[in-house]
Amino acid sequence: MKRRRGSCVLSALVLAAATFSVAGAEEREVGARPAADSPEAGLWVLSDKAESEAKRSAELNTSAELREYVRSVACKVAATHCPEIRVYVFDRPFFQASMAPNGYMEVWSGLMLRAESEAELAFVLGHETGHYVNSHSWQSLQAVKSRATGAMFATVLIGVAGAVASVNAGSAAAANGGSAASAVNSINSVTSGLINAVYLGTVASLFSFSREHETIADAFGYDAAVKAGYQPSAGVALWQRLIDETAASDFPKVRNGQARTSVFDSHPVAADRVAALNKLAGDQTGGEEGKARYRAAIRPFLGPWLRDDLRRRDFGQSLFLIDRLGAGGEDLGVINFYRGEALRLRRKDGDAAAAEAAYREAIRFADAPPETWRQLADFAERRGDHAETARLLQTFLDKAPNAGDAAFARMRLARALGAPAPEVAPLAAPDPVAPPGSPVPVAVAPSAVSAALQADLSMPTANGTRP
Amino acid sequence: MNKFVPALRAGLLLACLSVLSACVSITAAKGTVPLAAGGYSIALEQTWSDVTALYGAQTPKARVLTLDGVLLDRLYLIGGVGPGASIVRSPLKERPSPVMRADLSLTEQVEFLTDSISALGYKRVESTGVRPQTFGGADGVRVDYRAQTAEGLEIGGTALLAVRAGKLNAMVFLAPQEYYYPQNIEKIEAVFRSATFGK
Repeated sequence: MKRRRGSCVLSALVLAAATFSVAGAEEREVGARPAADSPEAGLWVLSDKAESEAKRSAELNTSAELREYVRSVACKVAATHCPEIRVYVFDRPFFQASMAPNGYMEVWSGLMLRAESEAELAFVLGHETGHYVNSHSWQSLQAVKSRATGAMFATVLIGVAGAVASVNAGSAAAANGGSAASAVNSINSVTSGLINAVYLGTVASLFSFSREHETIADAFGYDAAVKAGYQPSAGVALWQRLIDETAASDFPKVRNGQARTSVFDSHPVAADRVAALNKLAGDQTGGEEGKARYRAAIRPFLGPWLRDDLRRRDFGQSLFLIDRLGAGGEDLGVINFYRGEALRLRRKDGDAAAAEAAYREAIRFADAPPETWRQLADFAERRGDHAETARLLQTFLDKAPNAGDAAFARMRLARALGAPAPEVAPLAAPDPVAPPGSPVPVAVAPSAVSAALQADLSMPTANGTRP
Repeated sequence: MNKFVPALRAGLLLACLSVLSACVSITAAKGTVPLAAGGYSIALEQTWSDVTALYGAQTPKARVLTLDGVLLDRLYLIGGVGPGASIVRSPLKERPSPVMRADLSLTEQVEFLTDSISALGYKRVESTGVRPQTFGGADGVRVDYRAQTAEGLEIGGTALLAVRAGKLNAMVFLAPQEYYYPQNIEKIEAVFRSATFGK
């Protein structure tokens, strides 16, 4: 929320600002666009271009159902501005949402994973709408431009910000809160090569908001969500959880910093913002939470998004997130699998045993990914428990016969069964036109392995090991 | 405008770096190419461009070659990645790169390489076709990849890796799935076949 990101989106926001009057006291008119000869018009063009590029991004989530769901929530809080909004969900493991002046809205998977209800998503989208409706981007630019026109200034700024991002500038500029450089440094410190820094630098350069803007947007988001019938306490709950997740980080620098609601955020969530929202909510109760509906919408993506989150390699934060996702007792096959993955990758004392326990817990549930059995086979193999290794690998292969590593699993299975080792491919040239991922010939005859496995499993020893 | 002085300074720094980068030497590579760190060498039948000087900061344990340009194909020759080391260097402590461990299972070795390719900036990296294959006479693992660039260009990839004396060695080829990957895959197979470890 705060400073947005949304890449191009932000720029777009700036453009939209053209329509409204200066100091930002007035909200933009519904459907208003900047005059073609206005300084903002150039920014609008940039925004359109950014939106066009976003449609080709490798990280764009292509699920029409998810996009429509998020759009429907955005429309509830945007109310009369709904027709101006186009929603894009990106598979990026950072907390982020933004909306540009041309109505282009980005929501990142890191946010979708961390919101726990439709009410919380509504608050965030309402916050973004607050920046949009109040043309905060344009105000920010107006505040810093001097001799150049807004469009010229933005162009220069974008170039500089991109340059800064591309060289991973140091943190010195970050001290200048609110500047493009600080926003870009914020991006770098958070994303570090996981996403396109230059692309995001463009966005960041246009979406650096003041603390006042963030407070206004918080209030706007609160009002919009409550008017749409959502739970008043949603914003407080979400912000507080972000603070708690920050405290769970593996890295002292992160723990000692403040929670950020955006990778472009130079004005992090502080206690005063939480207190302000608490004051707004007062003792109001009621309102819709939409928890089940929200979970149903994100359920198909839990696995891929958690996998992305683990690539941030902040396992303290990932485990905090995983605990929250599992707190309601839903999706425990997937949740426990990724708990196991986080522990296995973290490798602190005791993590290996805890990881295995998490995998074992996962397979009690029908939604455990097939890879859970393969990971358990690794543990069994390390213990020299061949029968258990074979049983687990066979289960993995039964559940995922076309897995990318199925051929490799069959080799390991044969080895565990004591069958003749499969022939190691002698580097025979494959079909040159076969794309990567084409089925790979299996060196071990499946029928022989199956027969051996059946025979093996029919004679378990008392301790479960291979005779 | 004072707030933007640091940004402008950084922009100038980038400009200087760009100028300096023009001074970086790109050399030709043909014939026997040794990779000292990994203790293996490969034989190239045709001339490749050695662009290691451009990527040394990001992948210090790799030699990087290309046939048609780094945006069209890249061959990473990675060698000697021991426990605690990474293939891809991260500029930030808070966002560490995948780390090699002494006790990685074969599945985890593939995961390490796959995550390292992601750390290079490729998106939606997916390993497929994992199977055993020899690497310079040693037991190794062959992996194919599907990935995308940030802009959505489909990338094909293939890799051969092996752990020898506790250190990971790998050859990774990445190129656009359209034309460049299928066009060059036979040459890559020949490169993979040519790998030999020293005594």
